[in-house]
Amino acid sequence: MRKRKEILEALFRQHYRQMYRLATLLLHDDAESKDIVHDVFAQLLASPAIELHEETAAAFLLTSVRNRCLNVIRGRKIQERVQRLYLLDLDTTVIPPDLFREELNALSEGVSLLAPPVCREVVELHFRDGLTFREIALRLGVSETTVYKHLRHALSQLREHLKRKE
Amino acid sequence: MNKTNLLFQMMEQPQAYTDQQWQEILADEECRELYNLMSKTQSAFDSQKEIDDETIDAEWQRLTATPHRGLLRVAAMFIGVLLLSGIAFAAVHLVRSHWNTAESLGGDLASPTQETRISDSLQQTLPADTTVTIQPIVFDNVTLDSILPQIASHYGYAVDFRSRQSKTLRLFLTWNPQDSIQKVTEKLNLFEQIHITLYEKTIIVE
Repeated sequence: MRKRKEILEALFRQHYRQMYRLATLLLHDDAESKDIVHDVFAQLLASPAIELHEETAAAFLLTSVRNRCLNVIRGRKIQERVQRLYLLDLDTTVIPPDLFREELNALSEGVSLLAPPVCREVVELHFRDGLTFREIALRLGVSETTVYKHLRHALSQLREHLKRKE
Repeated sequence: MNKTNLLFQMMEQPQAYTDQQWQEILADEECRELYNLMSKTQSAFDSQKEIDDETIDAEWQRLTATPHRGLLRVAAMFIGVLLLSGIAFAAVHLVRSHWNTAESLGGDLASPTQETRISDSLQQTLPADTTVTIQPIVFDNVTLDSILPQIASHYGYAVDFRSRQSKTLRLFLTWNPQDSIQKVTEKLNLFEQIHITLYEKTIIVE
């Protein structure tokens, strides 16, 4: 039993970042993502019958995270899914092994190139700092419609940037 | 209002719109593409977050320091089975003793009202110590985003943090799982920086 706990601890430390990353990409929530990884290992600790092999452990753990995330998403109504910015059609989307890495890197690069600066500011305030459009409007001293205009312009630039990177 | 502005406005307050309205706006190809791009942009920001070794240590401690939910479930089921067995035994015992008494008195055993009386008397004769007391859980210097998912899960609720700042608030809280969720919410709202509401099986933190 003790040996199994040590094996699981080693796997936990080895795969935590990748598992957390997958969960957070799907759920966009730090606490929920940690809970997903926590639950996967809690089940493993409580179920000695589940055997893990080194060569297949990573795939097993990531699939467990993915399935748990999809269960969370399926249990939520459309309004909640939108509020959390879940990707649409996740149930049927094939999640690539590299977890959209190239596309996300391209998007991060695209954000850094947004112009004029107010477009980047709106994107960062909303997606990085979690401010609502209303809060951004108040912070910038403009109307919400103006915030929408900057956001639309920013997203248009990001779309073009992704096309160029394809 | 053009459709992308409408989409942004709807995203600001998703709960204010019906399923039908959401299906309509997301059926629009341009809006759907825009929404998915926003989702991926959020993922791009999320993917920049680094998890340090201290966090992994803390998460492992959290995992191994608390009883696993699976074990708790098994324990709960075990207690449930014991309780039901006890009730069943008491019921059989009461029915037998009642019928024996009735037989010795020459009464009518087939009367359905007798069953009702037996059932009623069963409740009264259960010993007081049959009830299972659940100990309060103490959260000592724990962040709200660790506390609420546990509480929500107990009541079958989801948690919606609309304010990111509130997630990191650290609290000392004694939670009695036997309290109603409304009572727990009232207790949490006593904290000055917390404003919590309940809406359709969701705990909303603003």
